[in-house]
Amino acid sequence: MSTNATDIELINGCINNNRRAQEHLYKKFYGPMASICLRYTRNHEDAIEVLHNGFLKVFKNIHTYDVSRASLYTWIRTIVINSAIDFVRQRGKFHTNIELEKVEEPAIDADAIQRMSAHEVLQLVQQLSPATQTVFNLYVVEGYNHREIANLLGISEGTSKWHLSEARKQLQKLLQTLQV
Amino acid sequence: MQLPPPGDPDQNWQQMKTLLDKSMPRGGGKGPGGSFRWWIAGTVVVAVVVGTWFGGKQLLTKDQRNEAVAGTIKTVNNKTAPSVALEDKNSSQQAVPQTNAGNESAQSGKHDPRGAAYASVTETQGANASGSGSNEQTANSNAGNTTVPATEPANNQLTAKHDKAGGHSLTAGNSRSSGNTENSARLLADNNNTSVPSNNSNNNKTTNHRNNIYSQPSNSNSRENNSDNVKSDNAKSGNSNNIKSSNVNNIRSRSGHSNSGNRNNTASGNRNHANAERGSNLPAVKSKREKVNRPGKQASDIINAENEDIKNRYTYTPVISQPSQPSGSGLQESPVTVKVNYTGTTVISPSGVIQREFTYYTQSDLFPDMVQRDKNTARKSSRVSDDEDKTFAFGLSLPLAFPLGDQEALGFNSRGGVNTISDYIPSPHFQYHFNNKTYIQAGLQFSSPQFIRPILLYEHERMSAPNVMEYNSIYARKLYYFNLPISIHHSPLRNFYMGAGLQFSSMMSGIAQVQQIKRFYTPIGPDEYIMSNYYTKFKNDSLSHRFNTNELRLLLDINYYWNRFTVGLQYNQAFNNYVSFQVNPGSPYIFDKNKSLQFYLRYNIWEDKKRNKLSKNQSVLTLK
Repeated sequence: MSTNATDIELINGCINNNRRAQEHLYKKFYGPMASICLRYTRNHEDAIEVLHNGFLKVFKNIHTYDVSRASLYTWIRTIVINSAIDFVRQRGKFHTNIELEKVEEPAIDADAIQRMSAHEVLQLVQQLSPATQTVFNLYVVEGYNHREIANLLGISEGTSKWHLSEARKQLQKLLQTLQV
Repeated sequence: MQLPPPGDPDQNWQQMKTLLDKSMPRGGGKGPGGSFRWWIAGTVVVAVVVGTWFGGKQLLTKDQRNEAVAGTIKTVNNKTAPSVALEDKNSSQQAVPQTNAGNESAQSGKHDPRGAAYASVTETQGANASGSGSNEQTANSNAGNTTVPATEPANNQLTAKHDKAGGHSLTAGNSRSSGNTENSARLLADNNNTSVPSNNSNNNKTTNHRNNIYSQPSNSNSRENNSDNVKSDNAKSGNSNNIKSSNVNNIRSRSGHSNSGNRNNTASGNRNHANAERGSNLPAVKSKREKVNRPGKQASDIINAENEDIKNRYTYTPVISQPSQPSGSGLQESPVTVKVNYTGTTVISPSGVIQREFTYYTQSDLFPDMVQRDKNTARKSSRVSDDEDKTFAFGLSLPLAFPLGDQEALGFNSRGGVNTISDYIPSPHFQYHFNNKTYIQAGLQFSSPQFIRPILLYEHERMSAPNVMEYNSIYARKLYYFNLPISIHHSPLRNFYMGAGLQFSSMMSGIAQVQQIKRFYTPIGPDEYIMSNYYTKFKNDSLSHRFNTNELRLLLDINYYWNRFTVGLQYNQAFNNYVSFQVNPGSPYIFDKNKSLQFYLRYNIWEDKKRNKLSKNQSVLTLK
């Protein structure tokens, strides 16, 4: 999703605090960004709160956006993810009872995932604890490694690994409960 | 994994729009700098407007209102007369009217001194017109010793009578513009007679400057003549019964100074105008004692006498006596040349009745060049002009902050070290002085320490072993702000300033206390051990994001200025919270507002050159 001339106009309008341009930008990226927020939160209300916080940061800092460095989508997505991380950090602590050097990888049947709809998978992910959910999203969906996650969340790599392991355990248990 | 978006975009946009309206109001120009740009601009504009308003009020001071008359007069006096003589005359003049006022009230019971004074003035003209050369003093005596209703008709009658007698009144009236005031001399002499030095009459609204003017130009000889004239005129005119019974006594007892004393009962400023008018005639009056004893002397003779003594017209020989001394005991003499000529202006008495119309020409009208020169001289020694007060100053401030309330001082610097010398780095300030009492000041504090109460920012607890809990907690202990204070100051007392303003503060960094505590739960009770405790700096990280970094504060300031140094106290209070968050979801919200008290020592390194023109011992900022 590259930045085109329309986006440039939207950006200029947003820099001038033009409500119409902001509305266009908001609605253009509403779908993908809201989905991202939904992955990091437990319900729609929290997702919308994260989304709005993220867009507020976008509108406040859009004058710093550099077209040559990243597309508008990527830039907004990064901000929204960071907003989601802030939200999770504010809401809960990253409790770690065990710091793992190696991630225990419980076996999850790949067919079981494929048999589920995206909505069902999302519901499973949302049942994870916030910190675990965040680590899972960052590692599995966003593709961050444990060092990056540790930096983002302000935790150790071992803690990040533990959260990922915990997420897989919980998902495995949930899948078994659902008898998928 | 693309999920269906939650909710309706249009509906959620309304929420977003509300949020935007609150955070980024339209018209605020949320570019670089944000809406604070408008706050700052608005604050500056308001401060400038208020300061200008104060400055404008200061411009309209009494000194400036009187500058046209008093300033000129003062200049003339300063130029020609010794200041000692002036001061003595002024002080004595103020005292004299009270004595006379007391006489008047005692005799008439109901008396408007100003009305009496104007009446006396009117009569004086008439007396001069008659050519007797001495009637004016009789009239003054009447005015001073009779009630207003009785005085005014009598005076008017006299005036009409004398006008009929001849055109000399015109001569006399015109001659007042010469500025020679023998009456002033009489005033002075009479002032010397004053026996009641206290209880300054409220009716005497004559400024010292005016008194100086009216009293200086006189002829020493005229004093005696005037007093004698009074006696003779009273006897001659026959229309002053009261004079015989009362004024004559006064006159004799004071050997010729009673008239002037009686005149002083009233608004001496106005009356003195009249006296100044008469003064021009008084050279005719000025004569030897034998002249006085000839009540029927013709006007032509008086004019001749005036011509003979014209050389003494502008010469004033003051006679200064102590209050206890009788009149005529001269202590000091100083020749004074009068340069103010009066030809009339409109004067309204307290009762609202126009007593007399006249306009006057000040020295500025007659000698504009000289006045300009005098003004330039005066500006060097005083700060009457407010244009000179609009000056700049630049300097450094050395702050010293104190903890307030539950705030705790912390002996760590902005980098977490123990050397706190960096907390006392001087900060620059800039001042713009609207006048000698009001100025606006802006400053920059690049790393100002802000004491706070310990704020729990992060807490992590875990069970590291059975019956052993480990707590990791981080407390914010001290913050560092970039401050931009703008304040306006006004001086209610000399060298003492009070100020108020706004301060924009932006958090730069902070000092955090990191604690690791282990708690062992034993049957006896829990035992706590601090495993580690250290201070570290936090900046632009997850901890600092918990703070509201930008805030606006109310600023109050009092200070004392002396010789470029200023010592003062400054208190500021933030309008919004700098922390408002929950450490954990279940824990209560933490709120707190910043406030600080600073003692500071300020030094103006550079001040505008205009200020430096002043005397060395008197700094510009102390001139109030």
